[in-house]
Amino acid sequence: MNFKITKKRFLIAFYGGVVGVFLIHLLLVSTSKISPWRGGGFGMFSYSFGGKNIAHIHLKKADVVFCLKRDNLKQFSRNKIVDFHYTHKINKQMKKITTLNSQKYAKKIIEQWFAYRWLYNSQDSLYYIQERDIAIPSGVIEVDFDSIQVIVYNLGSKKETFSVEVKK
Amino acid sequence: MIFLVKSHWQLIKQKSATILYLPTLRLVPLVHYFLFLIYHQFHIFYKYPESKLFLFSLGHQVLLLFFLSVLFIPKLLYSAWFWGGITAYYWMLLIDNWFIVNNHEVLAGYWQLLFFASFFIVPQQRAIFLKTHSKFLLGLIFLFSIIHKTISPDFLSGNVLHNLLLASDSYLFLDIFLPFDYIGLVQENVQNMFFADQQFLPYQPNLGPPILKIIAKFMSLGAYVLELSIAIIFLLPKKYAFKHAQHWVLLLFIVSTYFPLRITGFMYILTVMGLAQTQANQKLIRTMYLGVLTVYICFDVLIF
Repeated sequence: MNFKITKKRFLIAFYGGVVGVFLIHLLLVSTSKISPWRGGGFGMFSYSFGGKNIAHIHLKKADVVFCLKRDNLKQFSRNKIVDFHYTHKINKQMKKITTLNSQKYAKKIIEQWFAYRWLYNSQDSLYYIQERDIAIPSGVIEVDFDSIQVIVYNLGSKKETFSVEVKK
Repeated sequence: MIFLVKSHWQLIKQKSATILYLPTLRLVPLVHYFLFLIYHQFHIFYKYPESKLFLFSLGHQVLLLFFLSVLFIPKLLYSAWFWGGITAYYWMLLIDNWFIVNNHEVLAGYWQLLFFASFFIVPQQRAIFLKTHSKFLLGLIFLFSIIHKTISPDFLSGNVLHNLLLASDSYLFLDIFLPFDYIGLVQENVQNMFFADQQFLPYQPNLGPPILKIIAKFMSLGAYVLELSIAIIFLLPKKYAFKHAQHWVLLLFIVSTYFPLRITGFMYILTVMGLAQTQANQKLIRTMYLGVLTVYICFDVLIF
């Protein structure tokens, strides 16, 4: 196949992309809760600030609930504690859940989280996540749970925007 | 500071004259690189790879070295390889984080692509290519913004700017003109908002006197007219365009919007795209862009 990128073809693809991103974003702003401030829709300062969304992860078993938030979740790397929990991909997934506000996406992600080991240190009240093939470090216990729930709250309205619970 | 400027005045004059008369294809990469270095380097490249340990640690250092290599090999600044590498990495981060990237970062991505593509245009037409497409792209972006502002129930009614006036320090200078304690009102609202966030309680701002809402409506209308004018002027075909009008409306928008709101990313990228539409003989317009930029950087870095 003989395909050459000419100036005309580049410009058609480029402006097609710019307009396409805008239209998709406009659709997402009206159908989901994606922020007009982000994602290439150029809707900054157009809508009232709805307030940030934040999420809590609940590890549940019967009546016992372990509540994990941004401040108390850390990560065990291969052989040491990486104190910056935001280096872990779970943080990015949480950002995506709170930004897109989509139950369907949240459910898909939570299902992947069962592959991790969730640990708790009662001394410093911190939670850790760790890959299953590594030995459990000393000083922590493995949290026993049979379902994971994610609750997303809106800081502006102080209300729950959605909640998803997935059983093991 | 004044002493330093006075003692080096001749040198400053000489250097600034050299910069002002640079051909567009020399000036634009230089300013773009400088702004990229002082802003994007520490925001975009640092912020987005955070969930990828490799990029966050080693990758970041490699990129930093690659980026700083221009300081030792200035020729790189005019090389397609250099900008191609930066553009590719930048777009990788944009696509990977599409749901959280800010709009000015997307605009910078579009501009980077155009700039990179310009290396493949015949040399005689490169400057015209950059000029034409930075103008059209800016027009398009302002048109998108106007569409949002038109369909939103919050903008033309003044709600967005009213909220901003109530709980942001952007417009504190209005206190001089207002017949009540505006600074006190903002401080009270900011404090209440902080307390409500901490305690996870509902927040009801003190709305202040009704004149604030009227001011917000007036400001919203002004911003709407200005943005609409930019969209029209930038998208108009060349034969209908007023001479230099695009530069003056863009500069007016930059000064009236980004100085109080301090939106650094947008301010930088719009200035570079504005400069790309100038020629070496347009000394006044270039002085205005670079002057506004210098004042903003001093304002942003030294005062805030």
